[in-house]
Amino acid sequence: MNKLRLSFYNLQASQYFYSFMALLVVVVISSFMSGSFFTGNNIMTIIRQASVLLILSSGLTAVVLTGGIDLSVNNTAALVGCIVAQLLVNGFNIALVIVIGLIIGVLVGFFNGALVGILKLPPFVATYGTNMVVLGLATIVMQGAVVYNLPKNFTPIGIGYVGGIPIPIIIAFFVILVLFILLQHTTFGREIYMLGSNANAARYSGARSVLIYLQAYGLSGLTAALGGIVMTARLNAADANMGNSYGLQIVAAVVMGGTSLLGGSGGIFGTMIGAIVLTIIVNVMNLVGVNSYLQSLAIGVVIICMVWLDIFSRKKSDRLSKTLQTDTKSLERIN
Amino acid sequence: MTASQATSMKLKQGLIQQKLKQAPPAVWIVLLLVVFFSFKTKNFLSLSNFASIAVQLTPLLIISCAQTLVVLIQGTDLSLGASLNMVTVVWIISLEAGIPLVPSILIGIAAATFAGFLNGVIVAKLKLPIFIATLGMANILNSIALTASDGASIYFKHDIYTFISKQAFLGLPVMVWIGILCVLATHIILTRTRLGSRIRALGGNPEALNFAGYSVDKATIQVFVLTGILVGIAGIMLASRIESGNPIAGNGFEFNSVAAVLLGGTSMREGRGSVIGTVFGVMLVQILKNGLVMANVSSIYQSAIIGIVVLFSIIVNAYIRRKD
Repeated sequence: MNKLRLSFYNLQASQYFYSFMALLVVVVISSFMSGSFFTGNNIMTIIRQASVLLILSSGLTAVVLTGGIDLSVNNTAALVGCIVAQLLVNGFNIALVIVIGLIIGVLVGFFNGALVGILKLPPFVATYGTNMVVLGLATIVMQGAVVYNLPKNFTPIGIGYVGGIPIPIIIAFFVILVLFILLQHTTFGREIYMLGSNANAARYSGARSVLIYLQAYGLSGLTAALGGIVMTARLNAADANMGNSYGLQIVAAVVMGGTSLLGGSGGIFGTMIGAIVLTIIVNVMNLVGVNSYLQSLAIGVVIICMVWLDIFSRKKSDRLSKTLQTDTKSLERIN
Repeated sequence: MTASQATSMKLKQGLIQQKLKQAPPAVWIVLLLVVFFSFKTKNFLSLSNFASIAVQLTPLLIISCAQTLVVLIQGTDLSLGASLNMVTVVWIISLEAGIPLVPSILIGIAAATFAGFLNGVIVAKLKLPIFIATLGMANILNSIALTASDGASIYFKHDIYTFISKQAFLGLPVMVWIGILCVLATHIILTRTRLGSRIRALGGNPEALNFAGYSVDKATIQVFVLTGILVGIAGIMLASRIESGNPIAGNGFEFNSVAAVLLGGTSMREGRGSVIGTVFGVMLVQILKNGLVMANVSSIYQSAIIGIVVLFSIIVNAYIRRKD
């Protein structure tokens, strides 16, 4: 048993290994492309730029691990950002507004979780529908206008520093830490992984799986809301379409990090790598001065390559785990 | 009336009733909307308004046919909008370069077909999920469209635009007839050909397909090539309507077509559904948009209303399915 557990951890480690190698390759190529890439300053810039994407995609990781998807993340973030901005401009207390924003995010997540868990809608369909509604609500909240000049005490969430480190990075770091503990060291996390791997899905009673779906999608809504708040503070403005620029990049970050869309395998560190790779590509192309039209070409190619690499490595490790299992079986027989 | 005649009548009635029960809610909502808007607004129920709705919805209709094929094999093609962008740009650039009309149209369609083929190869051979493969491809195709057009619309005068989008033939613009032909072709492919039954099998039970001796890979690639051809045609229609090559005109089509397909009752789980349902899905989206504009609903509320209608019919659809 111990041996099996050991090999399980090795396999997980090897998954991150491939994503990490991809990150290294991207870093090395980028360093060759631009001399100013591998400097402390620029690396800090990259992580700061990646932090919103990181926050947005962290909760999504939990959803994807259940075998689902949440397409409403970017517009939930936009809706929360819009509501927060409107409330702030109208003089509400900052702490209260942030709490309200987070609660709205969780409610949107619960709604998704209910559609998936209780009504048994396919996650893609359910969250796609929610996405349309949420975007519509954001448009109504803003009345077609843009709100800017937010209170001076609010914007530091997006542009401030604590001890020389940008606040968005600190928030992203905490989110990742919490997600890591939740996913790897709690019953909730274990249940998410088991729900995602089809073999074990049948073991759960209906009520139990509904609860897990609600929690996972709620978590995704919560991080979406947090991302939306940071985004609004950084822009010092909000409009209904502010989620557009993130769009499907959020999903891409999760999947590039080796979390399978089928659920059950992957993790938050992979998502971190995915988000950073996506940010590096844009960063280095800006440094070199490549036409912005070509940036999406590079992003497209890297998305396909990284996910292919992940699937390729998974096939290999599947074969490895099969041989391991047969080895232990034959060992048991001998004993 | 003999007894056998009576029973056959009853059988027929039962069949019709069953068909009606199976019809996706989109059909009923479309009928409801038409009645509602024709009472609510003056010019909604005029032939000219319907012709204008038909011309507006044709590109989306053809794209939704393509999306139906991909949804039937349990995926969503996110590169359709980007491919549409590319076709409009490639076609107008070819015309500008002095290539004659027919070859230039073929070049445009070939570009989309090749993109579809690449999607198919990436999905079938590299085993990438359709979602990710087409998301990557969308980025690549958008980049090509933007680079080739330098990010702006390309204008080139030609009579073909008015011929396709305005010239009436048997009462309807040529473009609408082309859309109808695309729907019929897709419907026939899905219901009457071997490829059609393989597509359904691919969505339902791919292992069975392999056992039956057919190559899953080959069928997958065929689906994406077919998708590419349809997108190519839709691109020509779109460019004719906007009378230019535009690198962003197709944005959003990939998601609008998903909405249309889902509204039309095609299921993402078990390879069930039809193009005819999709037609009603497209009509629902377009009539709702058109009607809201004609009823003077502020644009601020339009997207929320459309979103709620879409979500509502998706839920109703799922509920009906579960009762079966």
